[in-house]
Amino acid sequence: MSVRELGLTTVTARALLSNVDDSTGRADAVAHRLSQAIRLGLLLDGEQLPPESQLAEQMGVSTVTLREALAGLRQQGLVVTRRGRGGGTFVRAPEDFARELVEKLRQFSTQELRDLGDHRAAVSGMAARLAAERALPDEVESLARQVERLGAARTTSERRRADTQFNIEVAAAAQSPRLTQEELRLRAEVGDLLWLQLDDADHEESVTARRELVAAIRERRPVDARDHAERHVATDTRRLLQLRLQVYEIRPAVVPGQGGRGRR
Amino acid sequence: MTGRRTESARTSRKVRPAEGVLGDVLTELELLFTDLDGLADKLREVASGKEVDRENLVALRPVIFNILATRRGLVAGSGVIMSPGLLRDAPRWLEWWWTTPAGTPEALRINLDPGAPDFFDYTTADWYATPARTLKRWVSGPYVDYVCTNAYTITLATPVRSDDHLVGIAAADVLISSLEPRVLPVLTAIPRPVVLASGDGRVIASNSPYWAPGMSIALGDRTGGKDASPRSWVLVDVDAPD
Repeated sequence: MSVRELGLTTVTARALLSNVDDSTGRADAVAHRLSQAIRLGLLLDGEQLPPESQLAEQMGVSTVTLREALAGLRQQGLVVTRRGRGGGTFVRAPEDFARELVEKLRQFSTQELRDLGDHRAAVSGMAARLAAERALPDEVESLARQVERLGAARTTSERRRADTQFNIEVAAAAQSPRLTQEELRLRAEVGDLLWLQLDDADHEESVTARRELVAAIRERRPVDARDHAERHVATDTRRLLQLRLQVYEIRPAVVPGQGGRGRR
Repeated sequence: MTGRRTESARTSRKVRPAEGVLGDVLTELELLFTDLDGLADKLREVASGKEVDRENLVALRPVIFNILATRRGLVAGSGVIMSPGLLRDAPRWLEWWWTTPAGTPEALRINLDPGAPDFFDYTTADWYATPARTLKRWVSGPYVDYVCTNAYTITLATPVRSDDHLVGIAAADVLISSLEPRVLPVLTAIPRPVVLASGDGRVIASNSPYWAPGMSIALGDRTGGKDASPRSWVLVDVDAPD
């Protein structure tokens, strides 16, 4: 019995398709989207991809095109295919993942990172405020459960996925499909950057802050809820800026974000 | 409507059943419930008195696809949500299909692994939990259906019982954007500001620019009503601001 075969949920598929980048041939475009998804952590290391027919349907291409795309990814070492019982196609995150993230970070100026923070604060802050005005008790309880799921998440990728899910649920509690989609799109755009240097202590802090946000939503304190969400984004942004500055300081050979305090 | 403000209006907000005014719309939704009864029958036929695997639920697809096709323009998705532990090969399962923007049915995929960070526990979702508890038809929402279409949605849900236990829920999604053209011509013909709201106080439609779908409205004593529905939908007289 396996429910893990549902590697690509409808939500993830939507995230993948939200950032359109179809400059190349169809198989190339599909391979690019999937490799982006792996690099962004939308698809987790070790996760099984759905059967080809299903994945083709979700990506909106023929099975032939999909096979071509998967062959390309196999060559890049981003997926592996195992035959036989328990076989299938599995995601393999690149080994120099942290280095890739640093390279991605290098593409942002500090001004752009600040701007990204402003955008995220606008989306998350407004979502939190509206959720505090509009969420019904069922939705608040669902948010509370998601925070506990975030608290229980151990690996970086699990934490990242749980946190995205939390943001999406806040935006859904705000009754806004646009804010919900925007949280998903921002995630697909920035992906792992936010988690580059999140150690256990940072994580604990983040979970506590999320609990406070849920309390503000539950108690219908819209201003406080927005404030909590904005401060959370501000903390993230400060972390990213700090890291970006380090990238300027260090020699290219050194990878920041590794060996920080509390890292296990 | 004079638009004169009455200070006491907010506290003495008039709330009444939507039935008298929106009869035609509610009748259309009742018809959809009849379709769901057909789907429920099929599920009972498939699931009663034998071991059931996910594969057995494939027999439901023609019925589901038929609902999607015949109610196109109203129904965005339909299927059954299984009682946990009922299927032999999956502790939790939905046989759910939605119509993609391309117009073809696509199976919904959600993470049903309880250990996963994005686990979607549908037993806590209102469209499952409420009909499972009351064993009555229920209209859930409106809400943002972020696991599927990401649209603003209501879900019509009917419990499916067999041999005195709950097999699952048969349900259909109706987008608020499809409902609105049916509701607003009626509401805009009413010569004073009114809000159509769910029994738990969520705005579905309104003829006033001060109220829009998704907002919360206090219904006083009627808040929290989870009785038979869509008959629990209410019309609320709201203040006409200056």
